[in-house]
Amino acid sequence: MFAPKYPQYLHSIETYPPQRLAQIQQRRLRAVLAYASQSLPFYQERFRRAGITPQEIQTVDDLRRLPRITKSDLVAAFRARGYYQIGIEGLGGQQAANVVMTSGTLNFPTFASLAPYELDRGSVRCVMRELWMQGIRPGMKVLVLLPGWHYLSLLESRALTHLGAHCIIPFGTHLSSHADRFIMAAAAARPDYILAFAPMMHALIEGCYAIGRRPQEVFFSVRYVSVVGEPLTPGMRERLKAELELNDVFERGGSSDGLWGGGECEYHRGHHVYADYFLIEVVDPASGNPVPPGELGSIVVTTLSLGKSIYLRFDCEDWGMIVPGPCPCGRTHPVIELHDRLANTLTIAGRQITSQQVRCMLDEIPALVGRPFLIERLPTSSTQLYLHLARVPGQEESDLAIQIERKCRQQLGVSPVLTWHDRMPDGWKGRIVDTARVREGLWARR
Amino acid sequence: MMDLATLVRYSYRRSPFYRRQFASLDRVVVSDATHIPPFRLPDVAAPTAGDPLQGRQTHQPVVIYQLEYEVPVFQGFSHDDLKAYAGVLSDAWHQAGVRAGDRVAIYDYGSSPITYLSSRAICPHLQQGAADRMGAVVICNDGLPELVERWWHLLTYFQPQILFIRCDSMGPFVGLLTRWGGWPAPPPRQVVVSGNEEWPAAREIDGWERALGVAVRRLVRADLAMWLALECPAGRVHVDSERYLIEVVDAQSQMGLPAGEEGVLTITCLFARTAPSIRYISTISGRLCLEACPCGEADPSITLE
Repeated sequence: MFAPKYPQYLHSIETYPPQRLAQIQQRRLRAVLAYASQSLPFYQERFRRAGITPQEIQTVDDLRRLPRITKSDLVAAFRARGYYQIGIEGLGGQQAANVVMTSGTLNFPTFASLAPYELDRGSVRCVMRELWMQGIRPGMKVLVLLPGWHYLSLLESRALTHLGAHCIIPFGTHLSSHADRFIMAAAAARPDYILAFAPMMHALIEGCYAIGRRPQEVFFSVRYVSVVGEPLTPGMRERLKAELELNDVFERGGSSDGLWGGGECEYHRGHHVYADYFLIEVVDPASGNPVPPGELGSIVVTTLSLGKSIYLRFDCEDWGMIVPGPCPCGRTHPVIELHDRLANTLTIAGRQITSQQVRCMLDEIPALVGRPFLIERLPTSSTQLYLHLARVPGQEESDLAIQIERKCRQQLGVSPVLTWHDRMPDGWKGRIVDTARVREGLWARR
Repeated sequence: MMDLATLVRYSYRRSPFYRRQFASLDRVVVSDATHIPPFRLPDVAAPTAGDPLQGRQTHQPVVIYQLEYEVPVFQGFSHDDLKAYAGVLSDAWHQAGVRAGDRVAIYDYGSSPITYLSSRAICPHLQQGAADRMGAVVICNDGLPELVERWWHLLTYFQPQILFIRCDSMGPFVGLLTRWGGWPAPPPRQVVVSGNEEWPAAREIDGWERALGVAVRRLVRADLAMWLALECPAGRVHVDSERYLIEVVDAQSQMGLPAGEEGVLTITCLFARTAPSIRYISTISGRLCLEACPCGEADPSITLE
């Protein structure tokens, strides 16, 4: 499938020297700022309140004078306007063709508009580079679900078209309850490649065993899988590779709030985020000061192309870090490692713990790889980690508890309090949920 | 479009399924649909590994969609198939009153033709969906009935002028609006309900119209035959005879029935090349109408049960 006639990079810009990329970024940044100040009421107001003009922002460092936008700011604007357009729609003179919704953090899905440019020459080019980087080639059979409401799905659809991939599309959605159709489609069509939501991959493995078939039999034609939706832990990655006998497993990530994303190359150091389309900062969540490469902070994105809703210093409120050093793949665009939502963090005995850390720890125990779990946030401060887990068929809870206890103490420096449940949603993303909501059972219905 | 005889010959030459299907067919009678062996869903369901189309394909498809049936069944498309199929949906949108600049909301899965034919952004290899052709802007919500609260949010802020909703989401949707005391924003001009081989009863439509205070129209589909059609204002479905050949046959004997007698629709799609659908016996019940339709449309019509 990886025929040598295809070059390693889809576009030469992927290996431009950093100085040249910085020049491109600055030129595009100035263009976007000029457009925003002339045409977008939301940003006109923010410039006015910050007391700066776009002309004063000539470099990326100057950009930091512009206050960060948060999801709360967007939600307030949607509520005040009562309409899906709030003055961030940088469509560059085109009409919107598609409107997408986010998945709804803060219990409020926001809206973003996309013009034809975005699907032909905008961020679709980033997705094409990502898919190419991850091994998709013309004529390959790609099994992919494309829900019509999601931004990434629309870009994937166009990128696969431009790349000349053949697509196999199962009926339904990414929920694990639809895994059986996904399995049927894979068994019938024998795809080379799967693009999927990470929790769905676990549901597929469980689904194969449920019908008495080994995953590698059902998915024997599949050589590569690329997942989105949640960061893969080393344990999850290894399990996927082993269960499906894959050549490699890739991850892609980003946010539909902020309309940005990136993907891993074959070195799996993090996500290459294309600097000609996105400007990524990683800042201290409290002070807003930039944190050095290698340190965790909140990801702040500025989109550098028109043809869609644009975001200037949008704080995604996701933990991430700029991975230091050059990437052996030769791409010069920044590598960003994504961790978790800031909201998915709690402090126990003075230590900040993210649910992703807990997931990584649990995934070191083979029986718990990819299993749903929940972290309970108590109303008062606690010195213990309250974990809810789904029972594992054929595994003694006491044996698992000993392993969890040991790893919790070693890796997180706290002791766990475990509650086992007969069933938890397969797609549960390991969120941190307040005690009151846990007791109400609200989490179980999500 | 091909005429029936050409389509039969084309499929016989290129498709293993139709070569078997038409093995005993006399060359002389291929232009007479009633002599052509029909097929049912089980004939093409439960595909063998590596052959999702069960030998129906005449050439390699660029896109394969799994269809919404209880059994696994697939349909394959070329660029031209998608273009023609999206043209059918565009016509339905036009009949539903969609105009340039309209906001259209779709409450269905991305793998439903109502959704994927609406926009080139949703369907790989589709050059223009219905919204692209008509200059409308489209937003989607997954078809899960439990996502109805999200649909409320969409109505509040997006304020669509036309809604397309899956039949099985109508109950939760009407319940939501009843619970909240009506539309959260200006109501749409029209609601269109659709399901694969589903045709809600007229009394159900009346109930929905009363509850919503908005005209509700039915759009019938048979995805395996790539057929979809919007009911006309008189409640009939007109047959686009350029694109489809539709017969009413007896469900048991598979013999053609005269106008006015109830049977099941047997559908031939005249534009699909990649995986032709020739005389698919659907589960949709109806009667051919000979008398002129009160809506004024001249195309032949059927009433569905």
